[in-house]
Amino acid sequence: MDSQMKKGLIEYSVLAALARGDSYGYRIIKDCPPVLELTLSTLYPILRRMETDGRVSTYQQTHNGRARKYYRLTTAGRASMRAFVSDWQDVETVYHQIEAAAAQLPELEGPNR
Amino acid sequence: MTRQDFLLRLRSGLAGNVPAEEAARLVDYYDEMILDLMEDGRSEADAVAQVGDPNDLVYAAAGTRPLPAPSPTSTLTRRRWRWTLLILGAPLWGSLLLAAACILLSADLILWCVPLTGAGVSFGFLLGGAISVIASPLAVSGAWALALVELGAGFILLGLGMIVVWLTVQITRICWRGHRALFQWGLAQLGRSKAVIA
Repeated sequence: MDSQMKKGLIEYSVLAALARGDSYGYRIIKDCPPVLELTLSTLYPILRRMETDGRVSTYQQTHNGRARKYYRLTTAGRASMRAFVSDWQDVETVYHQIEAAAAQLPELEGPNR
Repeated sequence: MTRQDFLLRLRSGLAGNVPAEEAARLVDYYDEMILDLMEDGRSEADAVAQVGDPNDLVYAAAGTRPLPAPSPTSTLTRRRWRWTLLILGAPLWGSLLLAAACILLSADLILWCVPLTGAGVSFGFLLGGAISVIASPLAVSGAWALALVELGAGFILLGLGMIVVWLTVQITRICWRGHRALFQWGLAQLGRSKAVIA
């Protein structure tokens, strides 16, 4: 998958991972599709940004005698996910245009091209 | 690298490059990740290796942290200061830059020595072979055996020359790739963001 496309999808995939319930960094990476190639170092700025703009909130909980940071989806986070889903109609329109053009490509490719 | 070593290097690298609060958050984040990886069955060394090089994490953190918008006056003053320091420090950074450029150039010259030698050897073989083949009929008047030896030696030299030409072409391709990689790496160093790592 194109890196720019991945970049756009990762945020929403992280939000989707939190939609099932509060989660922590390592769990979020495991819950996101491997095709997004989300790493430990790429997750941090995403979570930080979403925490700053209020899409996720955080709290600490003790786990096996150590503090672990949990992330929770906020109302703004849910709204952001819904907006992404509704915007997908527009993405599909563009996709169909590209798909139709791609289907025409073998016919366009001739000896003079 | 142990978890403690990793955290120490990360903490030292972040100090002064990102605000203290952000540095503490980053250290806690990566510490939690290492512990989670270990809890998932990884060894300490594996977990630390998967998190990555602390220097790279420092570069990334220093390069992406949001900076407060500077006022126009402070920007001008900072620019003047930067130029002043740049000029005053020229004897130090200038000589280091010159030395680095010379090292890069030397490495490149060493790289090109191999195809250059190949070209010289193949030219010698081909020239020697051609002269030997052309001159062999002249020796016929003296002795048939001598002419035959000269003709044979000429063909051997021509054959060797062609083999060396082929080898030189292959080596030149590799050297060209090495040359490009060397200079791309050199240019990338100029554009790379810097952070002081303890």
